[in-house]
Amino acid sequence: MTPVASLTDVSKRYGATTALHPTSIDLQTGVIGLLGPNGAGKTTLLRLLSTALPPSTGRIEVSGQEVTGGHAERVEARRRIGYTPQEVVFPRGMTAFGFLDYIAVLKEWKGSGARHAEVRRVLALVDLGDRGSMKVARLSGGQRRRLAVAQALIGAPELLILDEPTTGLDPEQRASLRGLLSGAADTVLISTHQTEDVAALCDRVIVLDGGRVRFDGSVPELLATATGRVHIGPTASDGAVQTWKTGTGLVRSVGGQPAPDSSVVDPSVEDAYLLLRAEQRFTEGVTS
Amino acid sequence: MSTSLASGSTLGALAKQEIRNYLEHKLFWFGAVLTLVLAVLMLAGIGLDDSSSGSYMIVPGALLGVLGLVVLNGLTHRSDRAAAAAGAVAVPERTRTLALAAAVVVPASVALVAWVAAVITWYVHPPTDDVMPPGISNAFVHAMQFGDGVMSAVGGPLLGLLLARYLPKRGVAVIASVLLVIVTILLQGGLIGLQPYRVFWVWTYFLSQVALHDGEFTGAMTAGAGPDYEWHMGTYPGNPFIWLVYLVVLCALGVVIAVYHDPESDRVHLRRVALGLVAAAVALGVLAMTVGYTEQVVNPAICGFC
Repeated sequence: MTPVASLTDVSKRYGATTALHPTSIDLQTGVIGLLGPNGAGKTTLLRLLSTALPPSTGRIEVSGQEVTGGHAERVEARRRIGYTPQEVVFPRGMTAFGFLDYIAVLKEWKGSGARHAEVRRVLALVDLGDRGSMKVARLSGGQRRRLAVAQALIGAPELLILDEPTTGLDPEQRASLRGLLSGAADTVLISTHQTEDVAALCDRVIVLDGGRVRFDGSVPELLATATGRVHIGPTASDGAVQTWKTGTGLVRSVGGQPAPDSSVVDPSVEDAYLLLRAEQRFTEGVTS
Repeated sequence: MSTSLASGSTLGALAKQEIRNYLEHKLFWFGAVLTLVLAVLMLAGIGLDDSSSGSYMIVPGALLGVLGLVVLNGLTHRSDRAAAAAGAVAVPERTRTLALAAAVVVPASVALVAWVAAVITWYVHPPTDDVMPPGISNAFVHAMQFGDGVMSAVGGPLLGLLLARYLPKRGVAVIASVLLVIVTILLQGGLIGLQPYRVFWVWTYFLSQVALHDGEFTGAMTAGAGPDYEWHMGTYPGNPFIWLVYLVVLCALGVVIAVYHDPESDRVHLRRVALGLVAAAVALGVLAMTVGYTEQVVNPAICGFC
């Protein structure tokens, strides 16, 4: 299957700092989760893919357009991409409708009739249909976050790139957004710290750490890496990566040697992610 | 995405948005209403001195030009924030810049109305005989009025746009507008004498009151004038017609430099255009100093209202 987007040996350096080491990824149809600690290079990867940032090396293609090629191809690719940055500073004095209307013009919606209909459509998609006339500054944090997602949905892009879209949303809003994103575009790439979102939404998960891809596979494959390594018992496992006392008074341990009387439990995406990170730190410690 | 490819150009659609945004700006309305109220009063002859509408165009120059600097600077920041919120969009920065530049049609239109009012006033309530120096035509005055009012209403906002592109810090527009007024005061003929290089500044007089002592120019306004000085109306050296063209070139240069800021623009081509405009501006500035009006012309009649 032809990927919707692909990165071939793409790297990004900021002076002496390498934010992303040479990386090759193909993005097929579906919802892809991007996990990683702060500073892992997630935002850099998303910005590269959205064409907001040029790579230091490598080749990026979106819907058959080589964005690292000429300007015309980059513009053509941008017509197929919807992107929500991690932090959005909204323009002052604009209403929610006015903001989206302006972005729609920037996305080449020239005719006002069709443009306004599209703005109303995306406002309704993010449950802000009745907030169009409100000033953005008067919206709640969660509403502003949904507004930021709404602008990415304008024009029904083939590739939707979302940098931590569920931050600041309450559980109900997150669930609602998951429902929306699952069918919002051919390919959705979501960077998040919310491992529940990945478990609930993603067909595939990519774990990025230190500017390198540490894991790339399906959610069951990620979970399989932690199978048999998460325990619950009266005491913590020896050498566990993380332990915490649960509501039942028993201790849940991720990794390590299980204590006597402990039993194996099904791992979560978070468990698998924590183990992956711990292994990475261990490997780096050994090699250094 | 095909629905987006509706009729009309992106620049046109975006320019309409920016024009609407300009029209919704409270500071613009503050300046526009005051300008038009004063224009109506001027047309009615209320508060008019013997020089008729000779110095009226400072009103739209300040209220639409200087305030316009702040208005378009703010709109540019707003546009940049919206574009940043969408990450990378198909419409490039240069198109946004041109759309923002197109919004100067709003203050320029009001200033144009004010200029027409000033021209009408000039004939309906003509200046007294002690105003116009010999050999100086009405067109000379109207060119000066157009430059001080209409061109300021275009150039001020464009300066705001340019500053937003290269100095995108808070408060820059306000500081720049204050500096603009201070430098304008310092570069008036009255303070720097008859120095012809004054025409290089974007906002200057060509006809004003002058103080003479033993027939020699000493200054204008209150600068240097004592009790034994005589007040007359007179011109300052410089050709206001060429100066107008010079201002048009400066505005075009401002737009080109603002567009140049877009890293995806054709900078090689823009550099050539900018260099051409700089050369044209310098040539026009020199011509404004040297063609036709190189000497001060003073009305021999003592100014009755100065």
